[in-house]
Amino acid sequence: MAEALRLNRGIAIYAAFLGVLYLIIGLMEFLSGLTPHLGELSPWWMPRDIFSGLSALVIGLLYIASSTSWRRYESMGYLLVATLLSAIFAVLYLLIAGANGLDSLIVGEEWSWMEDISRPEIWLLLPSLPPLILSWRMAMRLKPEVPTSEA
Amino acid sequence: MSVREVLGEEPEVAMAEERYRVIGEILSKVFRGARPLTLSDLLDEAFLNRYLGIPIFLTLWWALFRFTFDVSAPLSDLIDIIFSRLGEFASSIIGNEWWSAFVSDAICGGLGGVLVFIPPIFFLFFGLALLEDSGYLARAAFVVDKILRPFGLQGRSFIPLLLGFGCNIPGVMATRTIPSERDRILTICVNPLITCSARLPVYVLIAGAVLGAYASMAVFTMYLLSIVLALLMALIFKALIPYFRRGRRAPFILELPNYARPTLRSTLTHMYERGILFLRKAGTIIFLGIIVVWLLSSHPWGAPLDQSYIATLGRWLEPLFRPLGFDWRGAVALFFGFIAKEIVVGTFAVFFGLGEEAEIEEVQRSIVELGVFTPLTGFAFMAFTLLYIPCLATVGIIYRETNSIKWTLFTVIYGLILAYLIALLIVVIGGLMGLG
Repeated sequence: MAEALRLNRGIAIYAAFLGVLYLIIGLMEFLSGLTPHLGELSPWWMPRDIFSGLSALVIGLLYIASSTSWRRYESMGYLLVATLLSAIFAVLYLLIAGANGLDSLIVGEEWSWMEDISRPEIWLLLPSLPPLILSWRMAMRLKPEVPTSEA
Repeated sequence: MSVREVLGEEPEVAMAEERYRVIGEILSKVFRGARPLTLSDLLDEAFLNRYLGIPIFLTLWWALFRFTFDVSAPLSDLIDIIFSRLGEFASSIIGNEWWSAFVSDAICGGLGGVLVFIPPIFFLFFGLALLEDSGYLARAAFVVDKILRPFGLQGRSFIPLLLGFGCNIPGVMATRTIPSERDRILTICVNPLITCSARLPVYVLIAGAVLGAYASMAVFTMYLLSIVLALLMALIFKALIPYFRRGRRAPFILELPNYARPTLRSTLTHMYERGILFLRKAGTIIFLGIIVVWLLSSHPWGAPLDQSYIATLGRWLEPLFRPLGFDWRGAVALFFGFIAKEIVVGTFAVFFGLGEEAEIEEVQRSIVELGVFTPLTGFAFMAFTLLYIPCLATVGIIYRETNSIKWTLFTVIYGLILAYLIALLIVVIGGLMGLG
């Protein structure tokens, strides 16, 4: 079974590409947040957010770990968690954008929606979807049914 | 000879190892071939990875933090607006000036002050329930246990401590996930030292006013000091307080459950069960506290704030704070800050006749012009704000969670003493170094 879970070379290369993309974005966000001078030089859509930058770096490292271990079944675990985190952060920033919009309506302040929805983490979900679907399908072959928790 | 000496290891560990050895033997007899891989095996390769496990945990914590405070913000604002409108409405229909102020400022303001905490509390417990029901929370505790163990804390202490950076109330409440009573109490005791988000405006105000180019570094130092002192105090309490040393430290044995897909019903049930406690317990305490502050700050009736009972109290406290370089205004701001840190900035604004909604730059300018703080005493004030009890609601929650007036008082008193000592140390050492 473990043999069947190896990533093929194409997916491994794609994961490496996503990893590098996340690492670049994460590093830019982190450095922009850390040093005001770099923050001024970075593009307007780049958030100056140290911790979000670090989070993007972690996702990038997971994608890289997945591609470097592509001959082993662990790669699937790294890919699953990397795509899962990508999805979590994309949904989270969409929720925050929605919350900011709602807040502007309630408080009556201006809302820069472009700034909110232009976060790279939201748009990086799209290229993360193919490996997410693929790795999920492969993982689902392990167990026919995922247990659900009950209250 | 003790069981431990006979076995050469902790009995719990020996029992767990033996249990799994027997299970392994049985499985090898009833199953053929290798154990098939499960989804949990795959996910654990990443979540329990020696190098990536902790970064993944911190990433998920950051997501939970943003979800708790950013996504819930509109609901908190909505509650705040509703209660302020209710207050305006009440004051417009009540003829008597005192009753009008009491209903609008104390009752509506007080209730609003309590209810604005509900959205982040419920969002936090929703997120925590998701992590718990998915099976991840057990892994998180396992991952950070080795880091915290030398400080007398355990893996499950990490989430309450980290949540404290947002708000100490959910931080203290989250200690319920710690099964060992001693570890739980220890985590509760050091949780108020974690700098909550309500303290940040105070740092920004003071650092921006008197520390100039070093403002960002000073604020960052507060966060660093918060973590260092929380771990250090845990270590000291563990070493000095017999209760935390009583008996043998139980080894951290955790059976990792399989990952599961949380159901909405289960998650909502967990969220409601834990969140509703906040309303029942802290609500009454903070609400009463706000009413008391209102009574003290608005009486004698009609007198300006600097002639109110609270100002009298500030002048009474001033000699105590003089070694730290704080005048009566600093003392009163700290007193108000005991109720809630959010009030400190507004208190300074009221003192300078700027009103509670004044821009922060105006308040900073007044602090400099009136010489309320020097860079050194300003930094000491920031450290004091960091270390003494975060707010009255946290005191209430500590009491409810420990069910002990002794631990509640201990947390409040040691926080005050530590705050005073650290602030004094800053002023003395800074003075000796010629900083001022």
